[in-house]
Amino acid sequence: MRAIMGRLFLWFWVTFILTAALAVWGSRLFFHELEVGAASDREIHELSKVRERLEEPRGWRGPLPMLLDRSARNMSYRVIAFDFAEKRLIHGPGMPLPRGAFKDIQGIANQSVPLSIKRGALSFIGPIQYDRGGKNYAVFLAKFNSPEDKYQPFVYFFIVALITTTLLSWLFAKSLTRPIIRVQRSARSLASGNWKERIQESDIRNDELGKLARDFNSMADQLEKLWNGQQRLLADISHELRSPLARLQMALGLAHQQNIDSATLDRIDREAQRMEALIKQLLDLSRVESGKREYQNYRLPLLLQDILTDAQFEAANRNKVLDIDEIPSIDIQANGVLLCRAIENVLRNALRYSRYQTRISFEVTENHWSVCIQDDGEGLSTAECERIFAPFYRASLARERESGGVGLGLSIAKAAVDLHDGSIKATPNQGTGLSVTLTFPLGQ
Amino acid sequence: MNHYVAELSTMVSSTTLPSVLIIDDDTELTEMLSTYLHGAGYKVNIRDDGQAGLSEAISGEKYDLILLDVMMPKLDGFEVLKRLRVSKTTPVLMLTARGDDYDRILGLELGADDYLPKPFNHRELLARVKAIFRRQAISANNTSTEQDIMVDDVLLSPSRQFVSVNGQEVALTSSEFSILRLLMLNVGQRVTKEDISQKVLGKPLQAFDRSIDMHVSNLRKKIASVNPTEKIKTIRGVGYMLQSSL
Repeated sequence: MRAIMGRLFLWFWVTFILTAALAVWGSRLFFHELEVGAASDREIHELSKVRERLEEPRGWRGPLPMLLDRSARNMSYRVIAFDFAEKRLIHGPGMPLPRGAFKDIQGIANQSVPLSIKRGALSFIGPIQYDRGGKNYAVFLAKFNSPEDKYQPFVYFFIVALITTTLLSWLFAKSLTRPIIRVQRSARSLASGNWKERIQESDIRNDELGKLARDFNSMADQLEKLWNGQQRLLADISHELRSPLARLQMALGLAHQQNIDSATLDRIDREAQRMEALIKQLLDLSRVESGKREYQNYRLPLLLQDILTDAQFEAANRNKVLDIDEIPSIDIQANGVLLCRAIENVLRNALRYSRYQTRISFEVTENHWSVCIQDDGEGLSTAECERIFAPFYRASLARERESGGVGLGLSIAKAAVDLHDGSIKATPNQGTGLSVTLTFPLGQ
Repeated sequence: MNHYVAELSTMVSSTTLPSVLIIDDDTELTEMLSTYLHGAGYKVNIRDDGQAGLSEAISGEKYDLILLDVMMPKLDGFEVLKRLRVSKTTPVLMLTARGDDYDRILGLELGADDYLPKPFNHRELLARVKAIFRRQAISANNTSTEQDIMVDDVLLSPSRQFVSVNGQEVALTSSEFSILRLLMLNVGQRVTKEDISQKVLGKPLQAFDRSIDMHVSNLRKKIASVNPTEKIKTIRGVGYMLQSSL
C-alpha cells in the first residue's frame, strides 16, 4: 500500500533537494570568480574626489562611518575603509557587505596603485591610503553592479531549477500515467465485448497500480465466465425445448389424422410453429454471439450471390420488387456464413415490411464497405430505430404476428455485424420507409 | 418368363406397402411417429439405438426408407449412416438438430437423401417421405421403359440404379441420382431449381433453402473424384445445366 505514496514523497523530496543542491553549487560556481583590473581614469578621478572630501573638514570630530558616508554624497558609490590595525571594514549605515568582501579587500589593501576588483555583484575600487586619528586606513569605493548583473545568477538558477524539476516531474508523472492508461484501454476493450482482454503479466509492476492491473484481470475472468455461462444456458435451454416440442408436433399430427376438432388443432399448430421458430432463432442468436472471429477471404459478389437470388425469389412470391445495385467487386475478410445471415435477415425484414419496393445498394470507402437496404414501407420513428436491434423488440405487436416474425432477426444481424467489428444502423427515409445500413471495416 | 419375374421382383416394393425403419432413441416420439406413418399407409419398424438400428438396416428386411436421428447413445446418426452406406443404398432421411448447419451439411455429405430438423412439422415430414417414395416408384417403374443414358463418359442406368464415370462406379444417394438423371435427360439445357425441387424432392422450391445446392455440390464432388472436368454448370438465379463436350 505504501509503495506509490512512498515513491511520490521520495520523488518530490529528491527533486527539491536536488534543485537546492544544484542552486548552491551553481552559486558557488558563479561567485567564485574574482575579476581584477586596473582602475580606469574615471574611477581614479572619483577616488581623488573622495580623498579630497575626506581631508577637507579639518577638525572633524565625528565618527568615521559618518564621514565616509558624507564623502560619498551625490556619488553612485559607497565609501568603505579598511582598518589595518583592527583588521576590519568600516562603512556607513546601509546594506552590510557580504563576508567574501572582507577577504578581497584585505587582499588588495596594501596596493600602491588603485585597482578595480569585481566579484559577482560587488565592485571595489581602491585603495587610497588615509590617515586619521593616528590610524592607517585603506579606503575603497564600493558599488553594486548593474541590475542585470545583480540578477543574472538568479536567472541562471531559475532556469536550472526549472529544467531539472520539469524533467524529473515529467518522468515521474509519465511512469504513473502509463500503467493507468493501459488499464483504461483494457477496460474500454472489455466493455466493448472483447471478453478475452487482459493486461499482460509482463506489464504489471509490484505496486498499487500493479495490484489494480491484477484485479482488473480477475474481474475480466469473472465477466468472461458469466458471459459464457449465459450463452451456454441459452443454448442448452433451446436444445432442451426441442424434444418436448417435437413430441408435441407429433401428437398434433396424430390428432389431425384422427380428425379431432380441426379449428382448435390449427390453433395449437400455429402456437407450436411459433415456438419452433422462436427456438430456432434463439439457437441462431446464441451461436452467432459466441461465434469465433475466424475469417476467410471472399469476393463480395460471389459471397452474396445466393442470398440475393433467394431474396429476389421471395420478393416475387410476395408480389414485390427488389432492386439490386451493382455489387462492388472487392475482396473482404469475413465469416461468410454469419455475414450472409446478417444481410439475409435485414433483407427479409425489408421485404416483409415494404409496400412494394426494396432496394439494396453498396458503398466502398478507403477503410470501410457498407451495404444499405431501403424499403418503402411505413418506416419507424427515430427512437424506435435505436431499439429495433434489441432482442424481441417489436414496433407493433399486431403487425409482427401477422407477418410471422419472432423479433430476433435483427438481433442476430447485429450480433453477426458486431463479430466483424462493424456497425449497423437504422434510419427513417426521407419519404417513407426505413433504411438499414451495415458497415464493415476493410482490411485487417 | 424370366424377364417377367425379374420385373415383378423389382416392382414388389412399389406395390406392397412401403416399409420404414425409424432409428431414434426418443421412444415416446417414435411411438407416435410409428402410429402416424402407419396411419398414412406405411409399414413401420423401430429401433431405439444406433447399433440395433444399423444391424436391422443391414441384415433385416428390405426397407424403403430409414428415418435416422442424429443424437443417439452408443452409435450416433452419422456413424450409422457412414457404415450403412458401405453396403446399402437405402434412402435415408436424417432428423437433425434444429438450428445446426453443421449437422445437415455433414449428413448430406455422408449420403443422406434429405434432412429434417427437429422439431418438425408432421405435414412436412409426410411430404418429404412421400417425395422419397415417389422417386423410388418412378425409378422402379422406369426400369422396363427407360434406357441407360450416356453423356460423354457418364453412364446412368435407371434400371440398375447405377452410375459410372469413365467406367468407374460412383455411389450416389437417391436424391443425387434423380438430380443427375434430370440433368442428363436435359443435357445442354437449363434445369431450374424449381423443377429439381418439384421433381426430385417433391416439394415446391423454398427460398433460403440450401439443400438442392448441397446435393449438386455432392454430386459434383463425387463425379470429380473420377473425372475432374467441370460437367455441371451453375446458372445464376436459375438453376443448373449439364454440359456436353459435343
